[in-house]
Amino acid sequence: MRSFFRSLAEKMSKGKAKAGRSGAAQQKEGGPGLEQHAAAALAGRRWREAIEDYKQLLKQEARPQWREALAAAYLGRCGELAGKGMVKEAAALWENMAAVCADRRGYGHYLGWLARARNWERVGSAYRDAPPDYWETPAGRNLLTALAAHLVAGNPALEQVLPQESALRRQLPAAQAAVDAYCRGDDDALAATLRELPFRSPYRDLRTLLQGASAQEPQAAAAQLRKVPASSAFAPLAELLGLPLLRPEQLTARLTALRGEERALAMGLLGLETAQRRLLGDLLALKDHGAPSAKEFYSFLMNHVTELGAASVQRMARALLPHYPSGLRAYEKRFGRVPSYERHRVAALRAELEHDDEQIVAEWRLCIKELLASGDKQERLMAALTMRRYVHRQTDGGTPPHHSIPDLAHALELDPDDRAAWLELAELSHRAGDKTRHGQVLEQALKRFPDDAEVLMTAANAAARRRAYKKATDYARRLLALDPINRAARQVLLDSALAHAAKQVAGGKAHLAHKTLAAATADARDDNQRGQLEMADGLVALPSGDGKARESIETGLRRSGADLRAGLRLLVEGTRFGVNQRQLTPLLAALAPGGGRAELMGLFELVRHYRNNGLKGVADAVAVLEPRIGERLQALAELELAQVQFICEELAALPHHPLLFQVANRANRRWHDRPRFVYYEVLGKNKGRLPKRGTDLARLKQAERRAADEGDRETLDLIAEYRLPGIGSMRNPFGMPGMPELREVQRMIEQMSPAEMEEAIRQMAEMIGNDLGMGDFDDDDGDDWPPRRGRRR
Amino acid sequence: MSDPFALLGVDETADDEAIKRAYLQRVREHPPERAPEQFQAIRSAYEHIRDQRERLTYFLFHTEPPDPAVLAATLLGARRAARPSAEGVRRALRAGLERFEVADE
Repeated sequence: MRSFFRSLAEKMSKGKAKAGRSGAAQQKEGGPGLEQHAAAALAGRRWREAIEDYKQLLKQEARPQWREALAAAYLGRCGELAGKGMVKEAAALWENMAAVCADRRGYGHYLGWLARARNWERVGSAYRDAPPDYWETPAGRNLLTALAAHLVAGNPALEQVLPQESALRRQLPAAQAAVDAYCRGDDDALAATLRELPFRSPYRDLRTLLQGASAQEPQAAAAQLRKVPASSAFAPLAELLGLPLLRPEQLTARLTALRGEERALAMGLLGLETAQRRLLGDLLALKDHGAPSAKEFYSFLMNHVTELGAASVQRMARALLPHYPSGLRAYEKRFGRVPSYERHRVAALRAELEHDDEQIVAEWRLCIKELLASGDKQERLMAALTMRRYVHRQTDGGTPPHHSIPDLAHALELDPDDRAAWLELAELSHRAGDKTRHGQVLEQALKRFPDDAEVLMTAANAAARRRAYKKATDYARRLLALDPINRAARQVLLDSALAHAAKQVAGGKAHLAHKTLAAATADARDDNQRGQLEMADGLVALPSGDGKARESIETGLRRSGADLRAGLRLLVEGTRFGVNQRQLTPLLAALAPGGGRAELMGLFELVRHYRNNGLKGVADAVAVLEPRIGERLQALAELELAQVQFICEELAALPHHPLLFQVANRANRRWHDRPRFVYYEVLGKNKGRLPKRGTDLARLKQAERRAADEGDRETLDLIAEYRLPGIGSMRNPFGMPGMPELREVQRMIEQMSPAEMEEAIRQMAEMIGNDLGMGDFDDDDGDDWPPRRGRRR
Repeated sequence: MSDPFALLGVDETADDEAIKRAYLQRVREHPPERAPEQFQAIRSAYEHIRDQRERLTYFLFHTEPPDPAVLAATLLGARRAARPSAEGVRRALRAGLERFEVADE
């Protein structure tokens, strides 16, 4: 019973559904209902529904408006298919429409779909049936040009289906003859043939490009080729024929973008010989999958030694060896055994690429040893250059290792004519605080290069720094004899005069100081320098109560720019001449308002100059100028990173912590917490003391990590020194000159034999002694460490 | 940077004078006002090999891998202008038409 009712229920529900469908169909089959439905479908762009509906309607009655609507629905559906890329289907459906509705609307679209489906023969067949004005439309002209291009390229089937009287067929022989004439190099025949093509010819783009390709003058040729529209079917050919006009670098880029057949054809167009084409093809193939690896390029070079030239390949292979050391074997096989230093040279350069500091030092040292062993003059020079390079790498930022100065000095023994090395050695000596050596090196450099401007300037600055003003003046005058407009040299003369005048004032000889300053005016070349002297003259006269002194100072201030720099000069020179800065502060009211980045940089360059030359009162002067400097800090936004860092260095060196914090804080906001600026900000915020706040410590630690990742040794040293003051940087933990770096000590210990280790421990124990309280040492020991044997009380 | 010796057209054994002469010749062919980029390349090449110290520095420390693009450009710079064959043009046209799309209305 239950199963009976269940099956009855199923039958009834199926029956209802059928009734529903036939109900709708009946509704549709009914005239007004169906027509409405069809119209709604058409208006709603439901093309398939509309097509079905109108077909149904037309079965009942062949009304013209329904036929038209059906055609519209068909066309809509064709467009829908074409929009999805189904152009073949769209074209087929259009043909259906044309047959069913006897309607050829959208014929142009139909031709376009055939063309997109690359059915050129059908396009040609349909050519005759197109409305006459279709070929005047942009789409029609494009299609015509595409047909023309296919004909010139050679498409006999297409040629056959086109009407004989069409311009495409009539003008084809002339077009082909023009191509032949161009390729033969017969430009007269080319010109004659091109004249046979009318202005509105379907081959007009071909005419344009052949005229361009045959033009003698490259710029005219390129301009003509550019006239072929990008939408033209002849555009790719125009691009190819334009390749020979490109510069080699541009040509390479274009060839790299081409592939296969087009690239091969392009190289044929470039007039390259077969061997060259093969070589170039192999070379471009290297770049087809991105930049080639060192190994791939190396292999390419070794496989094309003859074509590229042995000498050239050898040089390129040498440059690649550090990137691909395994290539050395093939290199030696081809070019002969390399000298012993060469292996170490390649290994050292490889270590540099890998940032392996220990290997760098080790391999360069071995390379130098091999170069020196030969005794050959050229190899000795190479040893010198190598020493210089590796010293330069070691000293580039950060504390110079202890061996840098002796190594560089040795390099100069081997190559005394290396002017730059002399200056570098002087600089290293200065950084190491070895004033004596610094002076000696410069003296030797001057003997060797007496008329060198840079050597003279360095010597003049060095002499001024150590207050040897007579020498400084002498060097500056020698430099000015060579280079009369050298402003820096004139400033040295001026500074020397100021220093000398200050000395005279200190000695109670103010009248002589006036004379010195008056004489120095002859060396001043501009208002700024004259202003400095005038200001100094006023400072000399001020203590005596001379009424004109203040006027001189004010005039001098104005003449030397009345900016922060001038203000700093006033205060620092005032200190030099024994005038209290507080006395001079009211005069700062004459300073001009903010001058931008030049003013800020000028101020801090002068701060550095004064600090380097040991002048007093600089920190106090900056403190007096602090409000004004603070107002001008917006100009920091105009400065480069290196410039802002320079300002921080000066503020830290003074020190002036409030300004340091402000500057570093702005820098961190601008450059997203660069390690150096984080260090300066924390330093400034905590007034030079170690931070107590966890956040500051955490920031410092993060900065340290980042500096290590970036290989920023200088910042690492600064942070280490800040955290462990007195011990010095990790690179030289003992903080004393002459002591080896920690890593070297570690290496020494690792290389010791057990017997050597035992002896070292014995000596250390003897030095420290049994008295673990460090003992009482003779005062005469001074700073010696370790204390000398036998000197303990 | 391309090979400075190749760019100036001198042998590695050339002395300072020969290199200078080659440099001046290249500058006459590519003066700065007409060919600024080539002039810069020539100038840079000269600076790298102008005297013995510079040449030795180049031999010892030059590790910039040669650029395939620069090498290709050098090879292409040495080509002679030539007209293609008619068949080559037709093949080029066919290849271009393969990737050419007729613009829609």
